[in-house]
Amino acid sequence: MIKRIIADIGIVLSILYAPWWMTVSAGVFFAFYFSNYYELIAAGALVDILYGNNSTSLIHIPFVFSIGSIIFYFSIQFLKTKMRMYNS
Amino acid sequence: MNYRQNNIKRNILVGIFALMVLVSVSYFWGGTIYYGISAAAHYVSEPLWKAGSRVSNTASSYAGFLDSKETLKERNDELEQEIQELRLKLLSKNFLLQENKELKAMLGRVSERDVVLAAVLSKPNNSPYDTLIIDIGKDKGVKEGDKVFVEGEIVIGTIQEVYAYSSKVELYSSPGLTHNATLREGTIPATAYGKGVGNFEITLPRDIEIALGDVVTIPDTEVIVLGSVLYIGKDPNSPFQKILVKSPINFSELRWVEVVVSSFENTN
Repeated sequence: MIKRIIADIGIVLSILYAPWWMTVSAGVFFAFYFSNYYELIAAGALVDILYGNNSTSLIHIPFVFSIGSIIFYFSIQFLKTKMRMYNS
Repeated sequence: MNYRQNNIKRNILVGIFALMVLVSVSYFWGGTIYYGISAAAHYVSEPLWKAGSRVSNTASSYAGFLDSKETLKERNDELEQEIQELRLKLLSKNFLLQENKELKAMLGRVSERDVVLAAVLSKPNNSPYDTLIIDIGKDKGVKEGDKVFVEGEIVIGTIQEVYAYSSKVELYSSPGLTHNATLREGTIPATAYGKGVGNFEITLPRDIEIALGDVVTIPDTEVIVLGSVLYIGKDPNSPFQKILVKSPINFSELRWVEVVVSSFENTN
């Protein structure tokens, strides 16, 4: 529980101070490390809320990080079911 | 069915529901709700960003102690030479600027602007959206659409959203944005496409002569510099040439910007 809280604080700090790709890397790592890491979706939404640009984005659609974090979350959940280290 | 399969199904259903909610809310009330949540998030984050900037500036000032004396001396000599070269360029530039202002005054076209200095709280590399966060907002009279400059001449973007004590700046180089630009002192019109973090791309017919370092500007009553030509790509099979333009601003080290909170033109 303590580890998860520290991870959540780390994610928020990376959103505020670190490059965005570092936030993505940390989020993906924590999503694999912890079970049901819903905070990944909240982190994606926070990036869009703080920095979001309605008119432009990396791939010309809004809320890229919110949508991307939802897709990432469920993809990772699916991958975990296929990985031996999570099924032993 | 075992517990794991039920869990997966539940998660998928939750995910689909979340996506549907997100799309519906965005479509019907997206603007208002987004602004409200964004304003609250900025209100909470603004003091954290300021604290982070202070820590970063303090750490930078102490980092110099780690450099050797020889390195510092070399760097000092390079900087002094650069300052001398820039001083000479500035002399001729100031003369031309004054002459330009006088000519415009003779023609009755004098533009004046109120400028507010703002500290950069969050740089473009923090954000995947090529946006800046600055530390002034409604408290300093900032409005959506106000232009943001660096060094008084290099325009980098416009105010996109204004909060109580901070604002979000959309850089001109944001991917997807296009601008009417000119090269060669306004003789060659072009469309500049934003590529992110101060980079633009222009496509011109290959028979138009462009040189590295040519300045790209936005037509206005004042000179607004977008950047300079960094690369010219000519494909023998294509009738066009691809020109990459880079802003002279180093956004990763940008600390201060100027916001034009109001500007008007006297036409007599």
